[in-house]
Amino acid sequence: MTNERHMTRRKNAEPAREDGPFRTPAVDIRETPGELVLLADMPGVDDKGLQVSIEENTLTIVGNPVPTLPENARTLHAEIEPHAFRRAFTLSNDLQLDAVEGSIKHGLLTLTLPKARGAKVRRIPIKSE
Amino acid sequence: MSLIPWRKRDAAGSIGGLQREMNRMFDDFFGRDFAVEPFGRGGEWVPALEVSESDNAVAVKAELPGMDPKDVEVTLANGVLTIKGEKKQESETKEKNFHLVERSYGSFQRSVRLPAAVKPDAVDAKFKNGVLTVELPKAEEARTKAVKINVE
Repeated sequence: MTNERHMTRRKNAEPAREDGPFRTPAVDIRETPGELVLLADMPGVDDKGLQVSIEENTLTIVGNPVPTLPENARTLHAEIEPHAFRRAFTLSNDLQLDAVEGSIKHGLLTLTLPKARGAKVRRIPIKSE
Repeated sequence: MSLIPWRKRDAAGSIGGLQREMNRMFDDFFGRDFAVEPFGRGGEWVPALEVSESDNAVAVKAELPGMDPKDVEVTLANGVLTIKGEKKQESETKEKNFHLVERSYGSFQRSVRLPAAVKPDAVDAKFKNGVLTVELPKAEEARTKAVKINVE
């Protein structure tokens, strides 16, 4: 008497397509006095599979996992979705968007977004009638 | 002061009963054949797992992004594969404002009762890009051999 098994063939994640489906990576965002640091968990992704782009004020991170699968395996238990990672963020104006740096190691992406120097709070005068 | 009926073993019984039932579920869980522990034992988070099987081997994959391989421990005992470890915070938390915290940290432990007998000495574990892949070759008697059945 055996348990019912899912007799599906595992597939490697397909490269990201414009329309998805995607996995949303878990992200931490921390702020220090000089910069914003973004950490994204993208297991299976190396620097070749990583795409980071900034358009206007939108930061988009895409990660295509490296295929790991051996041949002819039947999936018995699957908690990992076979999709690429994708997530987008709206950035504030006081960041130096051309000085963003990033690296990926052990499937963890670290992006540093420096704040613009001299970004100061502008006091807005309120006129009263 | 209102009178509340006093019943022996009432509330303690109902909550204790629920706990006993959950524990029994865990034990039954490991009494059967193939099973993946759903919640992990203690620990602060649970890594996503995938288990697959081919004719010659069982493969268990775990997502452990951002971990150092030396903080991961893989053990095999009595047909149960256990993956445990601790994911440390990247840097000291000083002078930082946290805008978003979704990632998991801390200790984890998760077990899988394997679907077939394996050769303990031939188990291979690789950690690449934050994914741990454990390949467990099946023991001789467990390998699926195609048997041709003649139909009269």
